Amino acid sequence: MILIISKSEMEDTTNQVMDWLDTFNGDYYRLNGEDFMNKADIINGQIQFESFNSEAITVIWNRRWSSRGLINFENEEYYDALGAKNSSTLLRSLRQENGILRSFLHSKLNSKVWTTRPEKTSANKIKNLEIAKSCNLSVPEYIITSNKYKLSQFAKKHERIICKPISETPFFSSSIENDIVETLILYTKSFTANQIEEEIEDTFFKSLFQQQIIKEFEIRVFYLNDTCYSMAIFSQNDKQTQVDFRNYNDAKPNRTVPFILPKEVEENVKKFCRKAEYNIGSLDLIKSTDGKYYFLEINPVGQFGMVSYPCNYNLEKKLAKYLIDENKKVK
Amino acid sequence: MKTKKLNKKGALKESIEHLENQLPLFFKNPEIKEQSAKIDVSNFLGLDEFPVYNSKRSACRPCYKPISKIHFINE
Amino acid sequence: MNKSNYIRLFANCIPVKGAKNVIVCDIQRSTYFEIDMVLHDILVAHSNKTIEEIIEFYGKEYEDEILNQLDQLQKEELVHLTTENHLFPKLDLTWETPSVITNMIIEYGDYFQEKETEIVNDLIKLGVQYLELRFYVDVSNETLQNILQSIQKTKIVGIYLVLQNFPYEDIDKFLIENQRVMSILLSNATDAEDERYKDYNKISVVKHKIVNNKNCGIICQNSFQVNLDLFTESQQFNSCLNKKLSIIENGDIKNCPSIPEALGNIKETTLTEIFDSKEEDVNKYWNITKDQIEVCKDCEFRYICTDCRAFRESDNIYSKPLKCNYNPYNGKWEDNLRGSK
Ligand code: SF4
Ligand code: SF4
Repeated sequence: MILIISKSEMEDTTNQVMDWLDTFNGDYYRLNGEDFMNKADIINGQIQFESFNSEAITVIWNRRWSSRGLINFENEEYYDALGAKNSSTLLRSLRQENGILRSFLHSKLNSKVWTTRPEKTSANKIKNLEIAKSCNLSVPEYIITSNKYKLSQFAKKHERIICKPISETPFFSSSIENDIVETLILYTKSFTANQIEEEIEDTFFKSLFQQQIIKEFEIRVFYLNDTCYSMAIFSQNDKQTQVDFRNYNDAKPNRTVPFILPKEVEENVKKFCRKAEYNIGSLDLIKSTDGKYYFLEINPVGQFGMVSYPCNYNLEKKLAKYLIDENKKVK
Repeated sequence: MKTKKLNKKGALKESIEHLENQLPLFFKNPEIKEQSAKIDVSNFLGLDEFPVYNSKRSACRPCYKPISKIHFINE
Repeated sequence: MNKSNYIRLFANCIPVKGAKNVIVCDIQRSTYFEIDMVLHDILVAHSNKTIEEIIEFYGKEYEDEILNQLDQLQKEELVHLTTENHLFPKLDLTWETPSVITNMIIEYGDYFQEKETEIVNDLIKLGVQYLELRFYVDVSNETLQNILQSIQKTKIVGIYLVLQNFPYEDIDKFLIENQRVMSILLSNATDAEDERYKDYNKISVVKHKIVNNKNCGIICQNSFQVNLDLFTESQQFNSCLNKKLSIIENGDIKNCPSIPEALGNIKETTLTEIFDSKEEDVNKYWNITKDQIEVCKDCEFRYICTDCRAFRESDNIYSKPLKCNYNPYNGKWEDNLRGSK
């Protein structure tokens, strides 16, 4: 049986893959993280929940876990009353409880075939950059530092540098009056050496800086079962999206078209995925104006609908087929 | 319905700016985007519960073509 | 513009040539542009040439004009320059769906209540995604609410209602609670109703009465849609009737309500049974593409227009839709509906 670990809300990709699994008469079970946390019992080492049966499972599509945060914001006022210190203690406690239960589930399923192994779901960007280099992929030069002098030296070597999170970009929002929601935008920032000189304090919190690559276009690759499905994103034409493609321009969306990676780059991408142990993943590359292809990062549980639809790759079907085939292999 | 907790306008940005020294540099000079939380009933593409998928909030969407052409009028 | 580059239409901007006009269907941004025939040739027939080679082909004297036109296209973001022509493939135009039936039309009738459970189960089994639900008589809010509730069990993501009356006081509440309802067509509307619904994009009113399926089949520019699904489906299948199934007022099961041939009656059989036992009859029209239909095959709109086989110009199964008054040979929409008398 195929196990889909997903979340219960806002996850249409899972639904679409399920449609294809239905078409292929696939034997699957969808376990939402929320349901596991709220409804499953663990009795003497056995997970008891509906028809969930870890024995029958062969292959696991590790998609998502939960759409709900650990805090229910209906009760925000009580967290305010607790204060930041106690709230963070509470949050840590909840996270630990949650984490242990989740990893117990994972340990029960340890011997199965996973699309993404549990320990691989959040990518270590720095480690991956090193693996990419060892697979002959070009990566932008980077420095992680809290020292202005070293940063200046680095910045002088490059025309521009960018600063971005080492992990994920956090999202902040707050409701104010008149039904308005404020959101904090933390797009990738771009600096020149001069700007570093003038705008940055002498010491600062350790951050990741990368040489800014002047791009001809961006490339998103969905890697599935040793095949690359690539898409070129022409974000350079548009001032609004030059630094960071997430800074969408709604009125005139960036052009997104199917793309074929040059053979050598494709081989290196595959080598990377094998070496870093990803069966599926969504990779970001840049084709720079100097003609080189740079690897930026891999998102192991990345969205693929945004590649699948514009390029008509039908990846939902391909993934369903992959799961069906793996299931057969193991059985 | 419970009333949502409201913050002061600008408080989000201000707080992050005060903490700036303890945060990685990508937090520097954040921008604030204001969005209306009001739902435009008529245009809103909603979410619904789909028990077939064991999914609570999934997207509803219009068909990519007219299902029939009974609603067109020849001008 | 670097003349040693190739110039390419973005893969989602696809030219379609008609007898007189050429349009570029921008299926990413859901719009289309008319372009000149010569420009079409430059982009299509000479796509393997660099700009330099193209100019050489047409002659130096046209250089300015060619560059000017290409520049225009680049500004519109319809084309891009590249030195690596071979890395930008065309869009694969295969259309695939996990559904056995993608869209369904149900005319509400006496059969419905008794058969509701069976129909809903079949809607799930067939993987139906879109539903048009027609009422030719007034409906009570309990009836409508019950139907909408049972549809919740299905995979249907978009519902279109055709109503004679709108049985709810609170429109906002109805629309919020029934997110799958994409639009409501209110027939036989009074001036007061017109006024009441005018700010709702999802609700449209018509003054005339829609009390049977004779009103269908009208093709006009408003019925065009430029998107990947329709564009690709039209390449191999009939753009209206493919994977469509209908139940009409008296329970007859048909491909579409306006088509004469009935496949069976819901009182005696089920939708899945019909599909399994009479697949040949069910999909009689499914594979008729616009490229096979008279006149349409010469029309530049053929992949953004949807077809009609129920109302056609003649008995010939490949004849042009009756209720279209576009003439692709002169590029004009004629005032009078051809053959409508
Ligand atoms: S074939 Fe004609 S009559 Fe039937 S649904 Fe399509 S447009 Fe309407
Ligand atoms: S001629 Fe055919 S393709 Fe062209 S608009 Fe009329 S019905 Fe559509």
